[in-house]
Amino acid sequence: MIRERSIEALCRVIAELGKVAQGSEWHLFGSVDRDEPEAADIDLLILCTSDDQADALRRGIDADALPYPLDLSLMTFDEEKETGAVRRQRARRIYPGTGIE
Amino acid sequence: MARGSVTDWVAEHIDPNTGVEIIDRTAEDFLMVRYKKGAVFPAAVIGAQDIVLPGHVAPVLAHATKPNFVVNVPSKAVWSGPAIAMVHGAPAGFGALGDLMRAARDGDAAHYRNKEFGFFERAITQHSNVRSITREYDAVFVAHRYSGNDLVIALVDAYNMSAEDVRRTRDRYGAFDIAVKMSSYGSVTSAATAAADSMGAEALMFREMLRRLAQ
Repeated sequence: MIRERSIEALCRVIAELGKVAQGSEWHLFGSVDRDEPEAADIDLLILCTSDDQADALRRGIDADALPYPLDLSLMTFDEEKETGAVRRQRARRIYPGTGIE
Repeated sequence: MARGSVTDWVAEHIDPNTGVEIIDRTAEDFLMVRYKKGAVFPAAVIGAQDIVLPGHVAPVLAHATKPNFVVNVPSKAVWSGPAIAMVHGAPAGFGALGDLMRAARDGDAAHYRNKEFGFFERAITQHSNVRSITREYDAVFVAHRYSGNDLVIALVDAYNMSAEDVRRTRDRYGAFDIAVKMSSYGSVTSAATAAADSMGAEALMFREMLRRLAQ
């Protein structure tokens, strides 16, 4: 329920961001992704096409507009390739693939 | 956001499904918070936009009834060292909404401290080349060393420290000498290292920071 509610809220954020979010990938991990009832934060990893996109997304996302506190990590696709962050953090992609793109 | 509304905002954003609930509101406009039928504690909400200063927390600590926790909205605001010292002296915990939730679960909100911040504060303080430290902001300490210049150390709460983490840390807290990754897992990306280098700073893991303090 927490996961579903969080994804719905994040989809609204993505829709509001419009072109700024284009080309990025959004991955959920941690307690919200596991749908733990007492999850405290939305752990979100966004992969970006460039530094400029990362900075624009940081500026454009209002953490306080979400139903739960947001713990946001932003990195480029190149940095993800270097660190294997998605696999290591057992993150699951929610965008693209949520049907709003 | 007006002061009254930030308290409303926190009350509205606490999901009772998480086990944390608001059971009352006091004459001082403190929220009475409870976790799973446990002890109830008062939490004050303030609305400093960019930097939480002593002037923001003093009014809520001036009441006869002291809050056990002070929450600031918006969450992006940073807490200054003097404001933190004032809140801890009450004693009370501080932070954003997520910290309030964790404090409620911990069961002792007045003495709630971010464990990672505490770990780094102790590690820097106890370093053999550090004479004393000053807390500039919630996640920024200045290490005054016996040998060598003072070093401004910013703590970065990231599993993998990215270049964006480094840029954001500078934007939030200003110039620093070292951005240190708080998690002992994960890594510092090469882009993060390059971003710090371009600012005349370093992006380091914990052990690397200890070595740097000695130099």
